[in-house]
Amino acid sequence: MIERLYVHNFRGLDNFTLSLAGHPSALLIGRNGSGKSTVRQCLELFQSIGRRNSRRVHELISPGAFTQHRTDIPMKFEIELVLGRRRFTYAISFDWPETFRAARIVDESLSADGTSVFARHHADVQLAGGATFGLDWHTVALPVVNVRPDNTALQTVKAFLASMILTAPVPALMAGFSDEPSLELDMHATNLASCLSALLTQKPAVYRNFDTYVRGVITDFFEVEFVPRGESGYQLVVKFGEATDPLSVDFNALSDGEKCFILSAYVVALNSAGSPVFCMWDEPDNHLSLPEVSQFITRLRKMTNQGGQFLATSHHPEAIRRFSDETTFVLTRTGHLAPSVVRPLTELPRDGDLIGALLRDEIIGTAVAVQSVG
Amino acid sequence: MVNVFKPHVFVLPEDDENREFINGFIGHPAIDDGQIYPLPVAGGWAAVLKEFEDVYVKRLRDSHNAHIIMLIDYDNEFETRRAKFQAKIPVDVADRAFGCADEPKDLKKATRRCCEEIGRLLANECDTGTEQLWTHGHLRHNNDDRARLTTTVKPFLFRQLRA
Repeated sequence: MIERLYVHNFRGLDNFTLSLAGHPSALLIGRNGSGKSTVRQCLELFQSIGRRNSRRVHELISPGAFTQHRTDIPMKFEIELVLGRRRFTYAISFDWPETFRAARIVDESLSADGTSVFARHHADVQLAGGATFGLDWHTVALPVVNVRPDNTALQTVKAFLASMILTAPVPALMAGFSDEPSLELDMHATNLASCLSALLTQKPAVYRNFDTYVRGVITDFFEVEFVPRGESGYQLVVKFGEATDPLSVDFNALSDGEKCFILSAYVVALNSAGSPVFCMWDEPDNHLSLPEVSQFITRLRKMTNQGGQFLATSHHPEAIRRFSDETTFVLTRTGHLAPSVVRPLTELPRDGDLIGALLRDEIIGTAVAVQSVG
Repeated sequence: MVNVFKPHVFVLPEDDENREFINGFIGHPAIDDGQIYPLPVAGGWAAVLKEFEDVYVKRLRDSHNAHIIMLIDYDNEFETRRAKFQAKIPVDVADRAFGCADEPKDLKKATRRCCEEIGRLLANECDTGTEQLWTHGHLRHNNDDRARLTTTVKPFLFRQLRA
């Protein structure tokens, strides 16, 4: 799982480190614009590389992504992972010379347990065995480098990055139509039906976990079915009531909150399928009624009982209550020209209960004031 | 969402430390989180008692499936505080109202663990029927209520986990 994320010169994140070691689940809180969603965007860059969606730098980095347009200073990303019993570090940095039409890669490297798997500087790539080759400096090496078959580090890291669930679901875009199975959920969860279809095809036994979850939150849920629709597609249909005469409802006709329940059930079922899942959910309380929030968050946090990792952002008091001081990080930023700062909530003093202190702006307000003076 | 047709338990914490105990407790894999409803912190033991009287006595009377656990700091006044609570719990709902008194800060210091970890350990001991942390000096005075909880609440709150 993710132990550490380091980012430099990317949007509001400058020399920014999020340390998640010992935190199988964590919450990011902070004012609007403090950088919570930017953390997700950083992880999306890694995800995109792992999914081979973006081998070319121009698909990953836009000029506006450099902090205050400082294109002469390298933009750096580094992620430290512990997968199985091995520790991996993957790093990549970019700059944007004045005469270039796109950013280029300055450095890129992958190490496993402190040993280099590959390292590059500009166009020169060096493999662990000493072999070297040239690679266009606008092309990311991780998706294209091949090493000896017995070296599993590359595949392990790529598979993890590709499998990360980074979501800020938009229920209106979640139509429930599947034309091609996929295990790569997109950010707005528009391909949830394709992902659920792929999961249930590959691991049908996890349907029990999916079913248990959904029945727990939608009491008259009966089952889901993929009904052929169009030439080669399937529509996800949700059935309610009794087996003898269930009511069938197309997924896209469900409420926004119900769609989020199905998404959450998918994430929990996926996590139980054998390969623990990393999930970052931006504001998971969106679309939920007040009494639903607590259990929704608790269930996602409980993924960690099966080796998963859950990272959330939230402004919702009920979601915030379901985390503790030790599992909550506060992001602050004094203005658009200043970088985001992240601190564990345990380092920020308060009087009285947490939600009251947040409402009075004692915690974040004080931190910002101290930051401004500093 | 509270399902009044199934046995359920509300947990009313005095402060954030007790809230964090609950977070750890309900995070245990054996807990059926659909049967337990953590409430916002009341803000002091007296506020817990007032909220119990104002809101939850009626709730317990309206639904025989409802139970409540009040988590309070005893502040080295356990017997006095327990007497105050017992005096305010009506006889007709007393079998479904429980108190659990602790000293979170001292317990954290003594065990060198955060509240979530303590809550999780306590849930684990409930699940496995063991008693180590529950017999700690800051918790053992809860034995009577814990015995009642084991009889009344544990059967619907804890699931049998598959091997």
